[in-house]
Amino acid sequence: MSWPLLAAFLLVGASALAGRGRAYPWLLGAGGLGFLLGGGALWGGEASASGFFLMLLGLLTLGLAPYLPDYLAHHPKEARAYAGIVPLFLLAMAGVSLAPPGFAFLFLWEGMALLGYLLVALEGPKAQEGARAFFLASRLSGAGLYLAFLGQGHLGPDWVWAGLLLGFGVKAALFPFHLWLPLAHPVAISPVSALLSGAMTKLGLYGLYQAQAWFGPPPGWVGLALALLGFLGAVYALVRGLGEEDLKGALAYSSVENLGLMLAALGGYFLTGAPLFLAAFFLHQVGHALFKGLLFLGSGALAERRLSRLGGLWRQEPFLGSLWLLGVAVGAGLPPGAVFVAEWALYQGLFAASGFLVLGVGALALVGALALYFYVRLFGLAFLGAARAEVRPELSPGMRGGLLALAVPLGALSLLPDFFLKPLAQEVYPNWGVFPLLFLTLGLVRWLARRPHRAYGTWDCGFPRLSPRMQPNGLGFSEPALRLFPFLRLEVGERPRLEEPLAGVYRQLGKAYSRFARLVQTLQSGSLHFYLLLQLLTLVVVLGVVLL
Amino acid sequence: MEVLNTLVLAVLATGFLMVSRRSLDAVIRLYALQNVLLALVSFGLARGEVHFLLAGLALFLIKGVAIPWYLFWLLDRLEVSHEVEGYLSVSLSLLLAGLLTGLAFRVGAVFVLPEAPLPQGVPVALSLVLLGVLSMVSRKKAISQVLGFLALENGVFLLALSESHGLPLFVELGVALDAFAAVFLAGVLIFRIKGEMGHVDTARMRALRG
Repeated sequence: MSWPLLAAFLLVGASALAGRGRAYPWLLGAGGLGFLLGGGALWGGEASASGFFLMLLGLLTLGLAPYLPDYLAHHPKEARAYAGIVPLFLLAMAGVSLAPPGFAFLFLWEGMALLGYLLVALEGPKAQEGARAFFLASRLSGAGLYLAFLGQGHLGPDWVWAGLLLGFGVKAALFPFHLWLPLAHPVAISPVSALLSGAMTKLGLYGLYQAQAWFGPPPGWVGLALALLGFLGAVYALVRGLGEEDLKGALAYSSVENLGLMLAALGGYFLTGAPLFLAAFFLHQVGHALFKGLLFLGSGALAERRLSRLGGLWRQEPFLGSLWLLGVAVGAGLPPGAVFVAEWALYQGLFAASGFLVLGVGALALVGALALYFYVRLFGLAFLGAARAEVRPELSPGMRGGLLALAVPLGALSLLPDFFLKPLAQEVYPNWGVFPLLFLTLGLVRWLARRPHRAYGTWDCGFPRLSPRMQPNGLGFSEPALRLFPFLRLEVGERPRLEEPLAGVYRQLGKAYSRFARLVQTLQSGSLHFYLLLQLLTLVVVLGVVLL
Repeated sequence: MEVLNTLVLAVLATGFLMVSRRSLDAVIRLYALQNVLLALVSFGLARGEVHFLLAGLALFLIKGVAIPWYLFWLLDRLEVSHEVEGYLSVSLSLLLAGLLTGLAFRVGAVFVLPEAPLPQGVPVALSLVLLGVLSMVSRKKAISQVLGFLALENGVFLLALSESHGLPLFVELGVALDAFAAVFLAGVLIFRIKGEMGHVDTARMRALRG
């Protein structure tokens, strides 16, 4: 292991012990820098996915280091526990990305899941449902991985890859196993949500990518399933997210959408082997980690998260507003953002592909349009218009620093993606032409905005002044789009509600499972002799098997 | 060889008697006898090797003398009846014991390793294990569970003795001491049970449930 990585492990470990002392942000930040440098050397040298993930983790850690202590100062509940567990969680994730496939990997994987569960569950009773969903998803993921790791060499590649798809896919929110993510990520505190969405989900992608080196090339159906489920999940998550009232919940749905596109890109790579898919896969990961980290950290400044109660934040806190605008613009896939570049590469790959995969172009276009709608809604409802309730954003200097530490690399990545993708030796984008275009666009916007606007409305129909409550609310804005998609049922009335049949299916499965569990529970009669008898019978049966 | 055969059969006989006797004193005495016989088997296999002799000696001292003595003392201190209370009648237990022994002899040959010094000991060892669990299942007093466990443990010891040229001495000593520690702790626990509930009847403890 290179020395920056070693130093990073020691520094982050030391920060776990340091608690919330003065040295804490410096230790964490230096550790993040170590991850960035060590991972960058690995990524630049041999294009290793481990190095890539470490670099991504380092970038997020650099943003988190100034942010976390300040945030925890406003969050007195369990602050000490958070300050201790977050570095451990970082270490576990870094360990997973470096571990060889085998027992150490499984151990670190489960440890990471457990620490993530703790971080969600620390939020108390209101996070209970989310924490439970996280835990169950981790169990499912672990089961898939055990099937793959233990079955290697005994089962055929189909079974091994089915296990991998389940094990890593659940973590990467593969449709239809994505439902846990929008339950679990929003209920955690914002820095933790940023880590979960930004970094941990990427480990599922990392695993799927590495698995072809560990377990041999995947059978053909794996790539097809990834592409199909990826696009399906992206569309589903965006439409569902359009009906989400919670700001962070909507961000979590957007995570599912982005992960779906990355999974689809990986599926395309498995099917065709085209390097364009790989470029899209990696660039989208780091772009998503940065912009989602930025948006989640930014949402940590808000005490109120219901979209229909927010509004007009831009005027109250222009700093937060402009950084959020940057994140939202990248997230919506506007050029020249990193997500746009990744989608551009994905388009090119899909156009060049043959057969089924070309249909992905349509799906990607639909996703792009929906993402735009989605982020306009999110930003417009929360930051534009008039304030609907007294929400005073609290941003201390450290939190501002953390946001900037994520925004600057995001901007650099968007403008110079080829520098970042150099190890893949794949040009995605004529990047220098971007600058004049960008200036032209900004100038146009500025020129348009300069025109004097009227302070009265000719056609205001006798309503000279709109009250804040007349603005569209969370569901009102997206209602026309929601009607187009029959897999969600919108119930309008006194209290508009969104019904999700897929969640109902899971609820039924959960009920059936508990019934089965209660049936098994009748074995637990409490009689010691009955338990011993079961052991004797087991022994006899095992001995009897020898006779077969 | 003839002598060893006889000894192994005698061990099996003590196992049968332990399942069928109705008095706890007799069961403990049979257990002591079983250990003496096992120590003799160990001596018989020794062929001049010192660690066999030492292991046999330790077995005799710890399991043949110390544990039975401790169990007698325990029984006296507990002030409970010395009668074995169980779910099965004597004839039924013997029938089941016969069936389990039959199973052990039927499958025993499969478990014999190529260079086992005492192949005829393997099925007997398996029967001891099964009989030990049988007496744990079918009897009510907590102390009979301890005795069943000890019989089971003897089966494991006999298996190790017949399959390999003896385990290293330290392992043998460790196992013997472990058994003693386990019995000692079980004794302490039984005292606590008696103190808390006023009886040592495991059939009446039913709180361990989901």
